[in-house]
Amino acid sequence: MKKLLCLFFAVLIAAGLCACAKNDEPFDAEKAYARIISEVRFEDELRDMTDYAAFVFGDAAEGAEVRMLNADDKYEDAVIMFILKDASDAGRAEEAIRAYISERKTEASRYNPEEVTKLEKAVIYTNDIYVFCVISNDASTASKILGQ
Amino acid sequence: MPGTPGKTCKRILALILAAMTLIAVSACGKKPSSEVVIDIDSPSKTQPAAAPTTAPTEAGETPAPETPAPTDEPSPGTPPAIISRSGSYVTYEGTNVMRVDDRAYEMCVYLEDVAKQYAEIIEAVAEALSGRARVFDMIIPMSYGIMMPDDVRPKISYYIDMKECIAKTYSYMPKVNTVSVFDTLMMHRNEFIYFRTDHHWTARGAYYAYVQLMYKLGKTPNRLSDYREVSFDGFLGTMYKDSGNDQALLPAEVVYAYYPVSEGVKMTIHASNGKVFEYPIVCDVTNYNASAKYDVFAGEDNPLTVFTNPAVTDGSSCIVIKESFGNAMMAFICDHYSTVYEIDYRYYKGSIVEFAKEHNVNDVIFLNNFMMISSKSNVGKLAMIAK
Repeated sequence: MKKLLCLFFAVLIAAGLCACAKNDEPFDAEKAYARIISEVRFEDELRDMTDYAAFVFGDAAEGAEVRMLNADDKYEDAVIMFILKDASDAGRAEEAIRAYISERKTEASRYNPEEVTKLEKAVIYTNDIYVFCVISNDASTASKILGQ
Repeated sequence: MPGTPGKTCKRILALILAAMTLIAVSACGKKPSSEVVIDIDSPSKTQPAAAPTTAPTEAGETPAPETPAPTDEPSPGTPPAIISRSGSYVTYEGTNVMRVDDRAYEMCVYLEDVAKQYAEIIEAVAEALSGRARVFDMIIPMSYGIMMPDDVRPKISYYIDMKECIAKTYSYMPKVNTVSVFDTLMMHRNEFIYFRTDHHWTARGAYYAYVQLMYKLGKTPNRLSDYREVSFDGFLGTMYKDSGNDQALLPAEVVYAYYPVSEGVKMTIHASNGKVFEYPIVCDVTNYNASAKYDVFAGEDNPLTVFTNPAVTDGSSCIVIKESFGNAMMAFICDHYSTVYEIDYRYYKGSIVEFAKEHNVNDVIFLNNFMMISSKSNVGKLAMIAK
């Protein structure tokens, strides 16, 4: 009986440690970024808008790298990734993203009302020095990839 | 009875195992501390502070005369007064729209750091084209700055002085020919120069600004009576929708449009999808949705639209860089150049400077509304093509 009890605890420990190992796997931002681009459905081809991102988000967090892919013209689809120098800048990056979304919502409500919902569903996710924003009608896929 | 040493040892071992299990399970339940999920509906700091809300009021601002005498000179003097019926305003939750009587307004903010960036972009274009082309900039006031009744303005705690903000922005672009139209529009504020249900100005408002632009360009503007006018009724614009179709904003409005004075002006649209086609400068919007009647002007918003005027044979040309406010002015401007290139910076992908050099244009004219100059995302789009 005691042997069985010991065995039961041993199995529980093994299972617990195994699960922990899975959850503690470090967040792979590059992999997530690549998966978002390839797996999330966007309404138009995304193009590199890194210069634009530098202008719009350049002063949000000092020393941060900001990547941005944006759909052409009348679609608001976008992928934004901040790579911060310091995780403590995450709040400022999130604030800048929210300001961007707010502006785009105003613009969309004037000229492309069908894009407003997409902006409202935008996924914003922060993990350590990485801040992601995905604007797409397929926000659920983005959320899954980001582990939300 | 105390147990045997073997039994005690087994008990201790089981206790240790149990404790380890608990620790392992407990540790697994924790989330990484750095993960933050943002509520996307949280108010942004770029929006105006929440305004006090008053009870909805009855419709009825003093109707503007529909056919005032055309004016083609700057009009110094005291602007006509506008006094509201209600003496108060109503805001609409979740929007930046407010209403006084039967007129809606888009509440405006001024972000000086963004406006300065806007000015620096225009200044850089002027420097890049120095000796090649003249550069002009017109910041178009919104109805919030012009049409807000005099008795309501002081009641809005966050109301900004739009004239002062425009002047400040102009001060950051000393090499640019700035075109001030605030006072001109104020002098005509008792006319139908802004829509009540839409954030745009009317063709009449655009006309008065065009007159000032022509003076600055050294050209003689046409008189409003020179144009053939057409009208379309049933317009309920963007702010009517923002208001949740507030019945206080009814009745629907009439959209007036004007054909160029010159005969034979052709407009060619270079659309986002790569198609190139001719299109009427004044589009028949009779059967358009009530919300889409502003599309009457210059084929809406496209990356590039080219106007060719066979009546002007001197080969002159200009570029107009604009968003939708500029559309209502295009029918007036195209009378004064052999070719006008209209660029919507939001959709155009090239370089304005290179375009100006390539086409050897005489003038580059920026027509941007007041809200745009405080919008970082839009100023950023302008920055991308102002190279």
